[in-house]
Amino acid sequence: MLTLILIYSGIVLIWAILSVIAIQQVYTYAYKTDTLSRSLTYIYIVVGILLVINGFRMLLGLNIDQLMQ
Amino acid sequence: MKDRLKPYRPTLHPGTRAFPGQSADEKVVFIIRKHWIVDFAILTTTFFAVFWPLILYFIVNLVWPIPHTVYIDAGIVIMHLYVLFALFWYYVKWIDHRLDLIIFTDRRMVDINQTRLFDRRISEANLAQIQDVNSGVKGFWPTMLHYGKLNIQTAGPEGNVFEMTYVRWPSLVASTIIELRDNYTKREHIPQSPSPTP
Repeated sequence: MLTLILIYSGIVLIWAILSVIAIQQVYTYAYKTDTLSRSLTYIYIVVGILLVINGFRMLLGLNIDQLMQ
Repeated sequence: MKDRLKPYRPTLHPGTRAFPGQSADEKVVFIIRKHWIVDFAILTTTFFAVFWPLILYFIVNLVWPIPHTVYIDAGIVIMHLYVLFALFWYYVKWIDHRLDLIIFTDRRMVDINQTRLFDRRISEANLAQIQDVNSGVKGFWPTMLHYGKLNIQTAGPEGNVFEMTYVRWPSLVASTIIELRDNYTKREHIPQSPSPTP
């Protein structure tokens, strides 16, 4: 179970790092002048966080013994 | 008369810097972005590309109810990761278009060209260096939705050409740029540079 959690967290961490880089560019070049960029970035962050949390919740609820059979 | 260039004019609080490298006394006059059709196309593609597993799951579940097993749950966890990365992929794709900007201040133009996430080119030219501005609208949808191509040629040893596609009201933008350059050269008492020879 711990291995699966670590793999999941590692993949999520890669996604988070890449997302921060992308969001940083929007923040630098469009945050103050473009409402659409700002709004879509907020939606992206919220949907991303919800997906990570729900995925993690489902992963913790998995019956590993049954999965490995 | 309706100001068709209104979407290009940013509303900024005094003292706010719109882009890195903007001087404190420099005023942003307008920012050229791509037409909303580009955002619409990317957002529609994103919706179907990202959420197709979810749509497929619901359709299949309606026809043949999917049994709740641990394998299905494991598949859903993997799908979460797929959706995360697909969302990221299309977000970056959208940024590539959205961050293609030409910023006009009261003294210069700054062209920000985003190609990929780690590939960005920034060029700038003084307003007095602008020599020729061309615009073109070609095709049914560009004519209907008023978007097209804009070319700005500047003077200098390299004779740079700043190019942007999907510009809203390109001919109006072109004439406004020329007006902006003329006002600047008059204000700063700069002699007009000759037009490029064909």
